[in-house]
Amino acid sequence: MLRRFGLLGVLAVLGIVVAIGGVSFAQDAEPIEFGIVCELSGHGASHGAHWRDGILLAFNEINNAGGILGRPIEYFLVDTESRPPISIAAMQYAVSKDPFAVFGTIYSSSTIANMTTLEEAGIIQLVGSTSTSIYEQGNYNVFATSPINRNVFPWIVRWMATDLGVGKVVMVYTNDEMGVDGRDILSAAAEEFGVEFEGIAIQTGQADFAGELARIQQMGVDTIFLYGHEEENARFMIQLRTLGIDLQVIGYSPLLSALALNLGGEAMEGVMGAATWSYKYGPIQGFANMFQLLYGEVPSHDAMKGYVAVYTLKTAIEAVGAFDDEAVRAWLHENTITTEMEPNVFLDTSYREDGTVDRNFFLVKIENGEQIIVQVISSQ
Amino acid sequence: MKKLFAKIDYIDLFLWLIRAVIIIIVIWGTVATILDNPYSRRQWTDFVIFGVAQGSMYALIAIGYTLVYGVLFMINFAHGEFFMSGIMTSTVFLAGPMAATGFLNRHPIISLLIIALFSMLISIGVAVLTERIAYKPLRKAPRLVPLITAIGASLFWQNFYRGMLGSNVKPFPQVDILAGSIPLLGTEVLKTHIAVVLVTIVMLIGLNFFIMRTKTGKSIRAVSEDKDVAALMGIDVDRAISITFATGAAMAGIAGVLFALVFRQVHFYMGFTPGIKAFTAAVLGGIGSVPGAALGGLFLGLVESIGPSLFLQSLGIPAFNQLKDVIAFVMLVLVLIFRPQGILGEPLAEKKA
Repeated sequence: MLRRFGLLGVLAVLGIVVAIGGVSFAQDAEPIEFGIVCELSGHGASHGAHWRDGILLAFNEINNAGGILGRPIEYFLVDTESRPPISIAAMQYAVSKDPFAVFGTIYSSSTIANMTTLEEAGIIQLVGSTSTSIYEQGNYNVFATSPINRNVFPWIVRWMATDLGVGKVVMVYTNDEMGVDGRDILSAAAEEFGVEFEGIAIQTGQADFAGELARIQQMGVDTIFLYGHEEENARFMIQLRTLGIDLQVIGYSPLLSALALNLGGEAMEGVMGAATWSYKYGPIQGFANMFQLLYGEVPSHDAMKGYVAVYTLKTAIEAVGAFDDEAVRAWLHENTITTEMEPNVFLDTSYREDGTVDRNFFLVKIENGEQIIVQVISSQ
Repeated sequence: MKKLFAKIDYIDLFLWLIRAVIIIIVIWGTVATILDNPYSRRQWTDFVIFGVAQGSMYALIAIGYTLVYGVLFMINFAHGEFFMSGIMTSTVFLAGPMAATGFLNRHPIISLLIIALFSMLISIGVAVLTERIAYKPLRKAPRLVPLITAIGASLFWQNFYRGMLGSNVKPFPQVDILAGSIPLLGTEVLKTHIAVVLVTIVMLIGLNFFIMRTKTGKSIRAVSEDKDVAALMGIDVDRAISITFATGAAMAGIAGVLFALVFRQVHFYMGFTPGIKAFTAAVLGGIGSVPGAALGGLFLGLVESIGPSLFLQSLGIPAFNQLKDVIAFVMLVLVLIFRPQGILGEPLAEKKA
């Protein structure tokens, strides 16, 4: 409820800004338009909502501060229904509106399907997806908004093997682009570091995990690596704890995010892993507080990705000094955005040639329902 | 020889081939699993208990499909949304605030009764509203028209709830008295599963009493036999149809509460999969038959829970747990091949066909 009023609040503020403060924009600057294309219904709706809300918060702040190069931001929203084929149609619609850039999509399987549409149209795309295959297509136009599986999973396996002494791990992963990519990377890393690996696929939206948990008990593993979407992760953890299965659970951002903690409650206690974002990290706390005030929820990593994506693009446009998509793309590929240049990117960030992000991430533990940052991990 | 080939019905032959293949796979897989013995007795018992609990929820939802089909001969694809609407509203406006103030765990029985009652009322309200606005004007329309309307109504309610209560998944709070397990049948059974089964039994007994022993129940049965004759006998057909929708929705409302107690999450999209499964259960049991819906639900829940491990694990099929939906629908096909009217269904009379 609070969240709905929060969204209305943001829209009201945006409206007031455009109506009153924005008069000066309207007189001498043409608005610049962006598209938000994401999962607003279907299984990914809660991810899409946070992604959208993070972006809208950034738009609001930027417009209040005078826009980008003096031009106010306008935007349009398109829903992909969390389905890759629909996401292609959504991108075609976005192209017809001729925005400067598009924020989205989040689901890797959707991004894989729709990224060519924007590439062909020459419209910059910033995505919430982390599957490696997206960035192996030679698409110069697509930019990640957090480190991807390939950058983080090998570190996690090394940490499990050396610090935790894990001998055998079972990875529970969603049978989609994100999960399968994660499985391939984790299994390769496990082989490299001498950790025995087993994999169990689950479905997006799956509710009952009794069969999977029975198999895990058979396997004789000492650790579960859980890599589903937040909702499945929470349900899995609740069922694991309810059945009294005493195994160490390690995970990645979707397991450690505020959304999973909220849904899983006490079942999430003791979970550890690597997170690309943490609302407990000092520079992020101001954003997290504002987000919670407006939307009534602690921001998930999708909200942080969306928020930072806007400031990343703004920094690049201002550095180039023009709304020149070619120059902005080149600048993003060649430069590092430091927190001194733009505090709202939270962490120094640079882009590799393939569009993936090179920056630090966090080792996080869940205690008393909260993230505890154990260590900030250097990307080097 | 030519005459012999001419007599062969190739479609029948193909159907027999499918039956034989499925039966061979099931028997082969089952024997291999029994010989392999991959799970302990406790784990098999857990599968059965999970299956019964899951099947109980399917059964409660399936009753709505079967009741409506019984009186209107339409498949109400919006029924999954009746299931969702009650528990979504109850979670946001009752369970969440009750948990936040500590009332839920101070007075768990009263709280759960209030939540269940409210959930049923909301589901009933949504169902009756849908029936009155979307279905009633289409009583004389061809049967495809209300079917399409039902799909539209389903999408409407999904998006209505998304707009009103947000697209985020909402946690359903832990009820402390239902946490943990108790020893039963030589194993530890989760309290939530016991609650699910007990509530389902009570609801089914109550429904049976309502349908078979009350005047309103008799009017529903009369309308399901023949609307025109029922009207001539002085029965208010419109009222009977509305009560039928309300009864099915009340069952779905309770099923929603049980679902939330077990899985502890609710969202606007949650009615879709259980709705499809419950429809399958209703068809399995024999659509139009209330005991059939209950039996179909239970059968489906058990097959989903036990099937992958029993039939597929020892056949070396990778990610066999992911195939539980496949197994459920193969069972549906198998039952319908051998018994097209479903387990407890009767062959459709001319007027219903």
